[in-house]
Amino acid sequence: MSKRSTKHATFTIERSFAVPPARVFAAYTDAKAKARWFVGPDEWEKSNLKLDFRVGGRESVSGGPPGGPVHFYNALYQDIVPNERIVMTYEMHMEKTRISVSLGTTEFKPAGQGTKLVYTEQSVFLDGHDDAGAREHGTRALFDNLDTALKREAKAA
Amino acid sequence: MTKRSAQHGTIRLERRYKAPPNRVFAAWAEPEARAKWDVPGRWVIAEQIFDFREGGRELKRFGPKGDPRLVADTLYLDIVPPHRIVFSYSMTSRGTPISVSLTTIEISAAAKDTHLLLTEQIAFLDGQDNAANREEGLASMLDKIGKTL
Amino acid sequence: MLQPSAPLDLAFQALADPTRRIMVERLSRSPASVSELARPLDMTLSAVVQHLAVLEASGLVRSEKVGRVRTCRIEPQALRSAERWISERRASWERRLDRLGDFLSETELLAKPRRKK
Repeated sequence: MSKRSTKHATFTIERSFAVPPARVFAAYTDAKAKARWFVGPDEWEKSNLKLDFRVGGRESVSGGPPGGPVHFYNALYQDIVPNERIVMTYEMHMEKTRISVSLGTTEFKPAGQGTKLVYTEQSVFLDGHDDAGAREHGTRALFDNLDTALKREAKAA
Repeated sequence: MTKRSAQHGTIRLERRYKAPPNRVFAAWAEPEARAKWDVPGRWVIAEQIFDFREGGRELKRFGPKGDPRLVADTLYLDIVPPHRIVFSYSMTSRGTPISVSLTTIEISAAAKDTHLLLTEQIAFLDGQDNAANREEGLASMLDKIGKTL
Repeated sequence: MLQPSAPLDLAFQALADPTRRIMVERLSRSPASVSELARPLDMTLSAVVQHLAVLEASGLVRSEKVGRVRTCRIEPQALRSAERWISERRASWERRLDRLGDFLSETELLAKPRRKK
């Protein structure tokens, strides 16, 4: 029986967007809007994002490199303040193995005409699956995607 | 002044118990056992639902006698008997959110004893109506000081 | 990781006295004048005033004089903070983990196998 271990980690990412908080928040509230940016790397096979955006609601998505291990994301929404704050707990599995459990807090703060988004993730990585910053790096990439999606949306308007 | 919406912190506690790991784990896992030690000091529990399994949801409504206004809503995420329990829980007072926590309990053998490590990562949700916070925090502080003297 | 804060220590020190705890408990229900606070306490008014000064210095209580009446109230800022809440979570776990220890000791006897002798 392998030895069990945990590693606890916290990181915070701040990102500015040129649109008001309500517009950024809207990108989180339904599956279609979220699927435009909440995706893995391009080469990953995508699967349907399911989202029930309410306190007590769940979210799930999976994906992975073709022929490679499938990653599963499952979240529970703990607290939602419209246009201001989202708090959720989520777990990551690689195939059948649970890799990590995290508490994610997203704050949407007005900043002039735009938004300052502050995302704080507090995680426990299980049994040696800690990732030396890959999670933080991956999350920054998601915010790049969000930025692109919001800009595209603003142009189309 | 920018109004803060969330603040984060981590607490760590350790204990050494003169009991083997499976007994310590059982004290968490069995409702009759847990009901004996997991109680909120001077306050009363008005309602409690146990469901100790991965994906299980537990609820505890508690508070001062006559005003059980706090609710702890727990979700078990990772259970590895007898070594580890990971759960998240939200605390609300009269429906107003106070905090959400991610708690890790690690149980390991230490000679004939057990070493227990509790790590709790907390997101404190300030703003909104926090008069409720104030009272609960104060009451617990009073209780703790009372106990240590 | 939040650092321990000096105001929190002052508050704990202020609450280390049972009379001050009684006063704070009373004020947590509603504001009160100094004479109202003093009424149930078996001590001179000046002793009560000294206790009040410690509570005000700790930031837990605030008072103001309107006319001849000094009214005291719980200071909301001192208590509405993340440090206090997080500290309270720690205190709550400390209590429960201590009780877990008591429970394990109490049930140890039942768990011990009976010796055949």
